[in-house]
Amino acid sequence: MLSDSSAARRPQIILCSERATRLGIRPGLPIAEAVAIAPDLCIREEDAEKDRRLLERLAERIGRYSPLVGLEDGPSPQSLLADITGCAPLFHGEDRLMEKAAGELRENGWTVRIAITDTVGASWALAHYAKTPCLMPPSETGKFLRPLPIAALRLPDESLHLLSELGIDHIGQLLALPRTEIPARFGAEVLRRLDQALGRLPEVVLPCRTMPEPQAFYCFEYATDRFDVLKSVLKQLAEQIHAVLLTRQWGARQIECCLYYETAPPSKLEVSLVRPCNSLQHLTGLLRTRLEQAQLVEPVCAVGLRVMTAEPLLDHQTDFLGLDQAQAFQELSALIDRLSNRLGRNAVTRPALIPDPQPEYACHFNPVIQAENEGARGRLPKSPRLRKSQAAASLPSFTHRPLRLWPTPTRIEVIRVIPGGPPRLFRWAGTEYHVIHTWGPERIETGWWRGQDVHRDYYMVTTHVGTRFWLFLRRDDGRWFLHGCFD
Amino acid sequence: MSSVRSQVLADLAQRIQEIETSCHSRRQSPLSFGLAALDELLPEGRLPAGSLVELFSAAEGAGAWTLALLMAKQACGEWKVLVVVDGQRCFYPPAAAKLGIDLDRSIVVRPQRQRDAFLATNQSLRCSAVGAVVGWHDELRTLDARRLQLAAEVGGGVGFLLRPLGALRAPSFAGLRLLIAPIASVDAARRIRVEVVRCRGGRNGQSVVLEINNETGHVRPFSEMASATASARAARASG
Repeated sequence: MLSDSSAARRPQIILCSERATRLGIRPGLPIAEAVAIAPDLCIREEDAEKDRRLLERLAERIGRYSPLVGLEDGPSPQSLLADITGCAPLFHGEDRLMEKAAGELRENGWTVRIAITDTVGASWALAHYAKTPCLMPPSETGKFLRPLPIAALRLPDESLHLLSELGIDHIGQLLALPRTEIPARFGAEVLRRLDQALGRLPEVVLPCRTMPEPQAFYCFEYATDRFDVLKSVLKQLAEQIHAVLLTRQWGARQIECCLYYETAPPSKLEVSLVRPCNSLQHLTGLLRTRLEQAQLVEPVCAVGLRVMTAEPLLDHQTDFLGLDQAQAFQELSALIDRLSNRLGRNAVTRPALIPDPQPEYACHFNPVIQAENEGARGRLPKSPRLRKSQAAASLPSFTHRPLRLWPTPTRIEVIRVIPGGPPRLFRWAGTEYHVIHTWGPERIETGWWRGQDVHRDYYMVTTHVGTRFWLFLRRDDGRWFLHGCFD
Repeated sequence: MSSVRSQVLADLAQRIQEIETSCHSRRQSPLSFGLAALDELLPEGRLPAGSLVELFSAAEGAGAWTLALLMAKQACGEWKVLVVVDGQRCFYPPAAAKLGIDLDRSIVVRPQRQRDAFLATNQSLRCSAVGAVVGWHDELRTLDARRLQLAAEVGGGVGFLLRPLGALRAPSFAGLRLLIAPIASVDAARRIRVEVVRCRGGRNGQSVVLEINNETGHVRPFSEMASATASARAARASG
């Protein structure tokens, strides 16, 4: 019997034997209650890491039947995925292959649930929720998935709960709904999983066999600080890692270049890309850009190049009409890479609206190439289809907001003011402005959780020359500030 | 092989012709600003794709950014990307969203130095996925201005360069130079006078008054005479 140790306060059963089930013990039952039912229970604590290692060993064994065997994604994988494209003839058919693989595992004491289908999602669904072994004929994914419960789509608990509350218990019911309404009603994840299961979205099997990172190294006979020499060596190293990437059909997402010195610690230059890329010209160009920005501490005695993150290249078949767009978006990826690596990752951003009443916090500038621990993740502009729902959801409901907002409000001198109201004459940057009309006040009191609560009365003012500004009165001390202009 | 060669020769001949006649690539279709009053000021009512537009204003808060973004929105069309080069770090996307700018199709570049702002503008204009680039350029060398124009011709987008009034005397390669002057009004919709300082192939010195609703992004021409008449009638009526 396995128990979940992560539920520290109330450890519970997550898996139990048939004998324990007959005694009335079931997954989800607290350990204390299970022990009360059967005091001589044999309880083992769950060890996700150990499970993973065991699955990886099994994957090696399954490697006899497929060149590409991986674990399902997620923190605690429980299934093996094998891409058997082109392997069936070697075993005289898919049915024979399935029988042989399942038989071998059974001989070693495993209980096997196995399915062969067109997609990863459908295989997972049928292996978990259909009668196994299951061999689905080609192009019948929809037919086989329809009667399965909704949980077969690998959805998070919240989505399952929501669908269940609405009486959607089977995949067939979900398929009957208009496709465009699914993301808005149940979340984008539901549509993504459904599309993966039906083969509308690609899902790759990542091999669990760890391949060595492509890397290359060059050691100078004498240390050098000549940039032309360094650039030439960098090009050679890039060619070496490019050859490895080309063989694997992978693209680099993050490359690290190390410049080693005689005494000083090495300088590390990092190149991040918005999409996996294996274009030698582009990679060399980015590496050169980073090298030009580097400040050499002392002459370089060795150069190392290492691909830190690599991903399979995404190949899309483009229709004739969309050829220009596809080419243009490739150019856009290259532009983002170039600007991000030259100006800094934080300088190339995509704005995101935040529902925060304090104006300076109502927007984030997220780097297009995200600096995440798990590697550089980029997000190109979305397709019009995906944009519609989000744009409507995120548009704020305020009235007056200036197009240019100072990051820090600027103090202004108010010369004449209506008592308890807006200013009539103020001075900013040495110029006096007569206010001819005002809109407001818009009172904003917020931010206490940030430790700096604000109490502001905002006014949009039109000056005698026609310019429009956004001013506020800080109610704590009665001072006036200019926060932006309606330029 | 000979067909490839003749194609290359034809392309080169066309490029030479374009350079000699100062006209833009015929491969790119001209753009409409979507603002009828402004389009009327342009030759044939359209701006050639791959152009630069300079907008001059004497003061901050005059409305030049609003007008530039509204025109940029049209230049981006259905799928192209808008790049805002914001060296001053003042661009406020919530207000841009109100004007109808699609933030999911926008990239904001926030360079540290003026030279980087030029580089970002130049590179972005060269990209065919970029429909428009908007940015403030205080100082621009003649050579750099020419480079931006060439970059725009390569990418086929439009560069909207916001500039101080003092830069009006500087040499320019922009196809269109507009002078923006705000008009004092007490209405919620703001009014700006747009004067064509220079328009390649069009008439210079023309002007139009536009009324812009910042809440909806709607723009319409405004008649000062009609407004004055209405005000006078209102004043007479009130006694």
